[in-house]
Amino acid sequence: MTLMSLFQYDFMRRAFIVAIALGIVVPCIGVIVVLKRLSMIGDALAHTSLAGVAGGLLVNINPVLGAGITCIGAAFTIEWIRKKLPQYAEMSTAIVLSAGVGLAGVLSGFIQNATSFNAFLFGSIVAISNAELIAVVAIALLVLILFFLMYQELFYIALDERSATLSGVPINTVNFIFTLLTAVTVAIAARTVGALIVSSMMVLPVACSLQIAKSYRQTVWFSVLFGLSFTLIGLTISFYAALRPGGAIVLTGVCCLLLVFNLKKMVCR
Amino acid sequence: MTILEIKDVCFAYDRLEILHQANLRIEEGDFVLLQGPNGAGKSTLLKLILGELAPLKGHISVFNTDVKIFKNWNQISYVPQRGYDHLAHFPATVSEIVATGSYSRSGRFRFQSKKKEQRIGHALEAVEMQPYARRLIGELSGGQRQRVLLAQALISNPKLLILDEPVTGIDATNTATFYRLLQRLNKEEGLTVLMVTHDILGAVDLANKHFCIEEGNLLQLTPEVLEKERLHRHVHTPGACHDLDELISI
Repeated sequence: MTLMSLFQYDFMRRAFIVAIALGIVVPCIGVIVVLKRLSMIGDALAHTSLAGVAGGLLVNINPVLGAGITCIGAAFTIEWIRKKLPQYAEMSTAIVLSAGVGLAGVLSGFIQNATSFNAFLFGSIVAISNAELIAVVAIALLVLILFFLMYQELFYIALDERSATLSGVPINTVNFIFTLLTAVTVAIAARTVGALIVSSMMVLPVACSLQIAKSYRQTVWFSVLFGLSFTLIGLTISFYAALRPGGAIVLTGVCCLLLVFNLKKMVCR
Repeated sequence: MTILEIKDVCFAYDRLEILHQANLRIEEGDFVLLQGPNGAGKSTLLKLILGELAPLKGHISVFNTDVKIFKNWNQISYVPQRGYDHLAHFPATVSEIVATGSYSRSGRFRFQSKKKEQRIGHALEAVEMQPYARRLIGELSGGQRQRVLLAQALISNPKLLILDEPVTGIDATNTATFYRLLQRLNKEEGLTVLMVTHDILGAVDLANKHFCIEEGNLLQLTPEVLEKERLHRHVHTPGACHDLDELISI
């Protein structure tokens, strides 16, 4: 099999387009999430999305729509708890994660077709329909545009919310939009790479980038570069080695992070 | 011109009274020091001034406008306590951080224009940090980081600079440099300064007005009290305020 044989298949072409879209968008969201010390937010939202998937399958609505709705609800709940308990901000993600897992566990017990539900646990990037492909690309583009439009504001809020407020940054509006973007991104990523590993895709590229970046701008660009590399390399490996794509993408990220750690150590010596 | 006026302000958290009929007036060009024991209400007073909290009674005006309806926040800059500890691991350059301070002035324009670059350069020059412009903030010492935050505050050309315990945890040399910079900004450029500090002895010569908060009272320290404290070489101690006849409750 040559490398180009990958693209003989329609499903692989679709998978690569989705991988590129997510590889760019998820790390952009990840940078702000990590800098706001909310790394686990992706995990909490992804797990909560499972409750939406289960609910969607039960009442016969599109599970991705169900995931999206619960993700948005969960994201705003996290933000609300974070404001109520600013000294224990990280607790908000744990509360929502527990609630999401609990609800998903209860609802999944009533689902007849467990295969559909399992597809969301580890994702099914190679089983994406044309309609889903268009939706993912459109949402990814929208997220990317809004991210760069709010580049300055997001940076300032991540740096210091109080000073940002005093400088006139409309923090409530920016936080509202960002929460919405995070929820939507997690919902589409959960469908494709899997709810259990979506947070790794959010955090691993940023973790690698933070080891080498020499500015905030570089942190964003390197994160995107790493995210893109992980998804493309992981997807290629999964095709040739017949592995689950979501797992292969995340493991590529983990290997890369270990490599970057070691290289940095060697250079610092 | 009156920059800040606090008139008969009362504030309480639930039933715990923090401020009782506090009065304070800051004129243009003043350098005001505010001291008091931990938990006395210094940070609460700053929050009231910055409009983050509303007084239960009384009135606060900044630049002759009620703080509740005040909009020109670009005239006020704020330097937080201890150079944000989290900056030690924040992946941003000194320039990027200083640039955020110009948000209130430049609005939402995204890209570094030449003019903005120049303003960053001037702000860094004012705090003697220009050689560090491209360095990561985490690579700097606590004192240097605090000077970067001062540059961030200065880039918007504020008329009032508010500092919340800016030298806590910073060594003597860097504290002296920081005070020298503040003094120059106040004397030479007419910047009005309100600084909350525990280092009353180190900073006493910078200011022309000295206040302390104790048990809900905002009191002005007279030169005589300050001289006594200087002679005894100790920082103003809690409980001392009421016993001193020289203190005047304004």
